[in-house]
This record gives sequence, C-alpha cells and structure tokens, in this order.
Amino acid sequence: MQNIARLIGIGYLALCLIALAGTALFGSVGYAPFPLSLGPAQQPVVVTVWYGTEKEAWLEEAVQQFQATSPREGARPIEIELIGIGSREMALRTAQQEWGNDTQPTVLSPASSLWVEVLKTEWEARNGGTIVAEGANAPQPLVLTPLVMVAWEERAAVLWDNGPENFWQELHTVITDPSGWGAQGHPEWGFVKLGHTSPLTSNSGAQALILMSYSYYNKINNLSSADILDPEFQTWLVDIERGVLEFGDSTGTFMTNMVQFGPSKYDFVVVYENLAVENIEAAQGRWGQDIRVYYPPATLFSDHPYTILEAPWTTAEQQAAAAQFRDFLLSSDMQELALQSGFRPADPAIPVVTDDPENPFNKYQDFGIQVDIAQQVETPPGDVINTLLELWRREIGG
Amino acid sequence: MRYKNRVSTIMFVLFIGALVMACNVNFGDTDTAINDSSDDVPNAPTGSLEITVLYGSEKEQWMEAVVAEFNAQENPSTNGSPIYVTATPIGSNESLEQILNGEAQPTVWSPASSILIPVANDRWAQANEGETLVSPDSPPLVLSPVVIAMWEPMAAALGWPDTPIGWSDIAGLARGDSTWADYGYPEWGTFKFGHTHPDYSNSGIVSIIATTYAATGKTRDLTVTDVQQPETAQFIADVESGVIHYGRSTGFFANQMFDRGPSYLSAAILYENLVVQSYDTSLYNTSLPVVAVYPKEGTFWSDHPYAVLNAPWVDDEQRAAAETFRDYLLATEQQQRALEFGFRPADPDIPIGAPIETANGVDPQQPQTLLSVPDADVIGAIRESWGENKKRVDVMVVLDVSGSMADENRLENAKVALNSFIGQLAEEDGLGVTIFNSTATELSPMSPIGPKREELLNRIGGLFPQGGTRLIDTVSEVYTQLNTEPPGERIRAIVVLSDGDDTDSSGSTDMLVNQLQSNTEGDSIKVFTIAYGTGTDVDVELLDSISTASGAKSYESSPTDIEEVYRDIATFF
Repeated sequence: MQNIARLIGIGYLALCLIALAGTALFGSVGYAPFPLSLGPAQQPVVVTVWYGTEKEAWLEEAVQQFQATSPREGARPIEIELIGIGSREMALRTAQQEWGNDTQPTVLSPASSLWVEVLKTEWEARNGGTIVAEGANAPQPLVLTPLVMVAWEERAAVLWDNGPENFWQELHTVITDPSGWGAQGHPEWGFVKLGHTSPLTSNSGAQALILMSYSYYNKINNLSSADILDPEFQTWLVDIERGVLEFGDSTGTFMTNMVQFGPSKYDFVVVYENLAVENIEAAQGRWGQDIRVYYPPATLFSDHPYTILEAPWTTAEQQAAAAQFRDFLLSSDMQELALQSGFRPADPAIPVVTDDPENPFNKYQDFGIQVDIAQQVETPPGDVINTLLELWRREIGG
Repeated sequence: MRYKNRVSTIMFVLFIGALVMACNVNFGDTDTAINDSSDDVPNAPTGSLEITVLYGSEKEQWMEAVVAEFNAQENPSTNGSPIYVTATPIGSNESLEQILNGEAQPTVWSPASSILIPVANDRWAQANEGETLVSPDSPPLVLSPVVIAMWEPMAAALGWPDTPIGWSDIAGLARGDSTWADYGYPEWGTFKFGHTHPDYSNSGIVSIIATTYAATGKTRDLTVTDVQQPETAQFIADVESGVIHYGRSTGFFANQMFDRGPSYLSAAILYENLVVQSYDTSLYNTSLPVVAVYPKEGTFWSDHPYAVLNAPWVDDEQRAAAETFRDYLLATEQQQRALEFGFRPADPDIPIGAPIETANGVDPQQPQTLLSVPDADVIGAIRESWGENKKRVDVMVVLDVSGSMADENRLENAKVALNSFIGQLAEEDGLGVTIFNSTATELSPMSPIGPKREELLNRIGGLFPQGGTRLIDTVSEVYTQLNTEPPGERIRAIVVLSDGDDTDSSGSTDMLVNQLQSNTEGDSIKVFTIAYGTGTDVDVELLDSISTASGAKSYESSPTDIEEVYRDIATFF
C-alpha cells in the first residue's frame, strides 16, 4: 500500500515538475507562475457603494478620477467598488441582510431620501437600532434632480398647445378616452400611452404615484392613508394606470426605451430631469422629432443621499474612506461634472446656470428645460407610501 | 490560510487545473433543429469557457458576423479562460418550448420578441416554485417592427401611402369581404396572405394576436372572454382561409414572397428588416418593389431581448461571460453593423439612416402606435383558438417502398417518423397515403384523418420494401388527382420521400416540372420532397427541382433525422 501511495506521490510530483518546466519554458517573459506578494501587504480599504443606476455615468467617471488621486486611508489605498441596484431593493435587502452575490455595502446611495427612511424603519423593525450614520457622516445629498414629464413634441403640441394647465387631470382625460388620440384628431396615434416605472421597484415610479395622488386632491401636503383608501380616488388612479403599456424597473432603461421605440410605445414618460437632458439629442437623431420636457405643477426632487452605514459589517476605516469619497463627490469639480450630465449640484454655492453655452440648462432651454421649479410636494410619511404602493400592487400588479 | 508546503500545494492546484482544462467543459446539448442554413456549428476549443445562445433566426446574418469576431478575440472569463460563444438560430417559440421541456439548456435566450418573456416566466414559475426564468428588463439587441409586407402596386391600390392601412383591411381581404376586383384590379385574382406558424415563429404569434384584435375592434385590454367569443373564432377562421401555407421561419417566407412574386403572395407578415433586404440585388431580383405597411391600429416590435437565463444550469462564470458577450453586442461597432442588415440599432445614440429609408420601402418614422401585449393567459387562449380555426390541409404522403429501403433500416425509421407526422395533423385535416415501388398503390385515399387514424397507422406499420422506383409518374398522378380539388379552401400538399433513382417511370423530369410550373399561384399544390438515405443513388437534383417548381421546400435526410424533417414539413400546415 505504501509503495502505491509513494508511486502516486512520485507520479504527481513528476507531473507537477513537467507543468512547472512547461510554464518556465513556454510562459511569456515576465510571467510569474506564482504571484506571491513580497513584504507586508498593503491591502486596500474597499468601499462598496450600492447606488441607484440613474447616476451611473457620473459615478463611474468620478471613481476613475478619485482613484487617479491615489487616495489612502492611513497607509492603505482606498478602492471604490460600485454596484448598481434599484433604490427600493437596496433598502430592503440591506435591512434583511440579503446579499446575494453582491459585496455587503459600506454606502447606500438610493435615488431619494425616501428609501433611507424605508431602510431605517425596516432595520429597526428587524434588528433594532439604526445603521445609518449620524453626525458628521449623516446622509448628505450628492446631486438633485426633479421628476419631469417627457413627451414627443408633435403629440404634446396637440394636447398642450398652450402648455399644460391642469396637468394630471388632462392626462387622465385623454388616457381614459376609448377613442384615444382619435378624440384629438389623430386616430393614427392609437390610444394615449403614458409611461412610468414600477413604483414597487423604482423610485421614479413611486414618486409619480405620489404626484398623481396629490394632484387628485389638488394639494401639495398632508396626503393621508384615508385619501388613498377613498374608492373614487382608487378608481381614478387605476384608470390612469391602465394607460401604461408596461412598467420597467429602471428609470434609465425606461428613458432609453422611449428613444428606442419612439412615439409608438410611449407618448409621455415620467422620468428624472437629468435623463431627459441626456437623451434629447439621441431622440432627435432617431425619430426626426424632438422630445419636450414638462414640469408638473408640483414635483418631487430626488436628492441621491450618500448614506454611510455604521453596520456590523463595516469597519471604522471603511467609514472614514467612504467619507473621503463623499467629500470628493461633493467637490466643485465633481459637482460641475454632474451638472454636465444634467444633474443639479447639491452644493447651493454652485450655480445651476452659468455662461457656458454647453451648460444643459442653457443648451436645452428650447426643449423645455428650466431652472425654476414652481413648487414641491411634501414627502408623505412611510405608512401612507406603503398604503399607496399596496393599492398599486393589488390593483395593477406590474 | 497557511500551508506547510506552499509550492507543493500550488503545484497540486495547477495539476488539478490542467486536468479540468483537459476535459472540454461543454454543456447544453443544443440539438439544432432544421434550419434553412443548417451549417455545422464548430465545437468550442479545448480549455475555453463555452456559453450557448439560442436566438431568433431573424437576426442570423448579423449574429453570424459578430459572433465569429467575438470568438476570435478570446475574451477572458472571470476564471481566465477564453470565452467561446456557440450561437444557434432557431424559431423563438420553438426555443422556448425546448428550454421549458429541458431539451435545450442554453446560457442565453434571445427570442425575436419580448412578447414571449411573460409567457416564459409564467410557465417556468409553474414548474419551478415561482422562480423567474428571464428578467423582464432584458435589454433589446436590435429592433425591427412587425409590418405587413406588400407589393407596392397592391399597397397603392389600398391607398398607400396616403391612406392608413391596417390589420382590419388585410383581414377583410383575406376573408373575402373585399377582393382585388373591388379595388379595380380583377386581374390580380384572389388575395393571397401568409404568416408563419405561431407554434414556432414569433411573427406567427404576432399575426394571430393582431388578427384577434382586429376581430374585436380593440387595440388593448384584450381578454380571454373576447378571444372565446364565437364571432372572434369565425373571424379568425375567415382570415386564415386566405393563408396559402404556414411555415417555421419568417426568413423562408420572405424568400418565397420575393422570389415568386405577387401571384404567390399578395401580402405577408414580416419584419421591416426583411423588406429592406428585398432591395438588396445581391439577394433578390424582385419583379416589383415591396413596401412595409405599418398597420394603422398599431403593431408590435421585434426587439430581440438578450436574456441570461436564471436557470440552475447557468453558473456564475457563464453568467459573467454572457454579460461580456452582451456588452460586446451592444457596443457601437456591432450596433452599427446591425443597421447594415436593416435592423434599427438598440443603441439610441446611433441615428436611423440608410438603408432604413423610403427608397427601400420603409419609413423610419413609423410605427406611430402599438397594440398592447396581452397577458400570458390571453395569448394562450389565442393560440388555442387558432389551432381550432386555422386553415386545414389536405396532404398526400407519397412513400417509396422500393427494395433499397431495406438498407440502413430506412423504411422502418421512415414509418416511425410518418407516425409522428400524422400525429401532428388535426382530426379534420385530410390525409392520403400512396406507396410506390415499380408500381404505385393508393394505400388510403384523401379523406379526413379522424375516423381512419388507427387503421392507417396499422397499414403503414405493415409495409415492407421490395421492387423498383417509379417516382416521376407517381408524383404526376397524385398531383393530377389532388388538382381536381378546388384551390384555396385548404392547403394542398404532397410529401414525397424517395431513396433512389427513378427506374420505372415513362414520363420525364421536364414533363413533371412543366406540369408543376403551370400553376405558380400561392394556393397551388405544394410538393415537399425528401431525398432519403446516406450514400444512395437518390436523384437529389430531381427531387429539388420538383419541390422548387411547386413552391415548396426540399430536404435531404437520413434515417437518423427523418423524424425532424417530417416535423419541419408539418410546420407549413
């Protein structure tokens, strides 16, 4: 037995030697067959950021520039890992500590503070206490962008030749009219098609529902669960939602769809201002007509809070490194960069409009882009949002 | 981790790694169905990480071009192996069925349209505890709207391009509410309509959904109750009566239309990119220009979603590799190439330009509206209703039972295949069987299959090989006989299988071909031919000229794949 074991051992060793010789002979110059590090390791401090994909282009560029500065936390280099995840999903998965194949987050940056509230509520209910850092590392908005309505120019002109007066109510009327665009003299456009993302998975979809609800009651604050439970309101909401062909999960994909499929698929979509800005030129090249941006009479901002987690799985070093990256993102250079891709800087010291003709708020004025926002609605409390989303889940499903 | 003997341990890992690499990591036997171009797919090289892609055959030309380049790049997987993509074109419904019944286990599924995604998820969830097979957000690779392809003079007779034309107009013509004579063109004869088989092809399912919408006058909110109304069923039956035959591949349909001209098909449901291709003089020499009609009630997009399957047979490395391949397909260069093939690129930053322009019969600013995609249960009801109301077929099976059919177990395998072919016919379909060797014998005359199914299968089972091959005369006789049936009411077809050179006919090939060519109308009798057996003296050229002259398809087959050939022929009915 021992001999056999020895033979196997020798055979295996011989094969190893052949493999090694092969590597040495035929491996490329400078190729290290066993890349072992020498000396004490400079393990990087990895900051994992789960972020809403609306700001993907900006964040990716910012990470590149940040890494180029060779940032360090103490003696150790900082490494940023970006993972794009829907806003609601990131809040719920973090609260439930469901990581799947993803690295546990050091930072969450959902599209809106709404989801930080959801995270807090859910975490406390499940685990007690909070993991959202407070004090100097408390959540801070990175960039701002309001929810807008993007429409194909030709169609908006028919519906709103003098601009929308009674925004959501008018949409409700045309969407629920069985003769669709026929009632406006354009039967060839079919029924009126509204688009927004699923409020269950996407921030902009939830915001759209909130705006519609406020508009039904013609108010901008104090939306209550009783309002949501009113059967007449429910019928009104379900009717307008039936004009939506399909609910996507990502607002970015949705805006892309609008350009890809043109006016055949969506007449109007509810998206973020920055996405509208990003796609104005592509839409022109694609369909030979422009898109136009409309601001609802009252809207909601997405503030993209940078939320450092003081969680059992994050170290003080990671939190400090995360704070460094946050400060970098809030630096005037990075805020300028965000402005170029259509976001409004979170830093009020940086003006939205500049003399630069390439500034999107100058460049796209003719497409309806404007700096001034009439008014904002109040973010409803968590339980009202839940009631609204539950109604939607039950009646529309998505 | 600390090792006492680090070098030895690393060597062991290397050794195991070498062993693993030595085994060709292959999976997912993508049993290729019969395609118009059934080129052999090369095997993945040893040591590569293979991912398999089943994709809608509509984008075959583009995919073939870009897959070869991707494989040549040897992009590394997460474990450092070069990624190798094996991509197989296949009808979208067909690939769906294969994935659901376990016959195919691809890494990626890219059907012609996202219409099938809810259907796939619905059925997968039923069998897999509510799991989702495909992300509803699977990104489109290329786009092309579903259009009614028509000969320009015919479209113009209907008022194109000024008057909008829709599914309801086509349905009206197909069901005979109006005729070409009503439009002032009696010389055009009957309206001949075509769409593919909805059990196999995306454009087929889209056609029957659109027809159902036209029946109800709706453009959204279609319900199962709507579908099950007797008037809806009658409407579908009427429209289907105008269909010349079905088929598995939209591309084949387009070929038939463009090659055979307006007497064969007045209009077919195709994709816009195929209309663009009809202007490519290196591919076609059409007698008249073809134009795309974008239906006024709305249409559907063929959006070619790229879906990495959430299935147990896809591991993390393959998933990551599939994402690498997806990013490659969506990169500007590959997207730009898609435009050359007449597709609209998914990349929104690429402007739509030539060849998608009015000079090629299409309008880049169309479509202006869509029909709403019905829920999975409604689509199921539509498919069922179509099965009950589709056009019926009268098919005469002509089977060679000459002595050489004893070789390779040919006759026995053909019997098994014939058995499953007959199994695919509905009770009301007509079937006749004629056998031939030195003489021809009508085993069963043309009559509805329902009452005689069992008896016929028994008689086929009892056949044995003997004698010579009297091919030409037999086909000619059967054709003459079937020609006494009025055209248009049913699809009329002959399916000929032979393994040998004609030894006993008095007529010539030319005579038979002339006989078949005397009727080039879409509702003429279609003669499908199967050149059967390996290394036989079968006259492939003769069989090919017979099927071509009749406007059908020819096959070469052996006892191992004869069942698949009969199955493909059944998709035309």
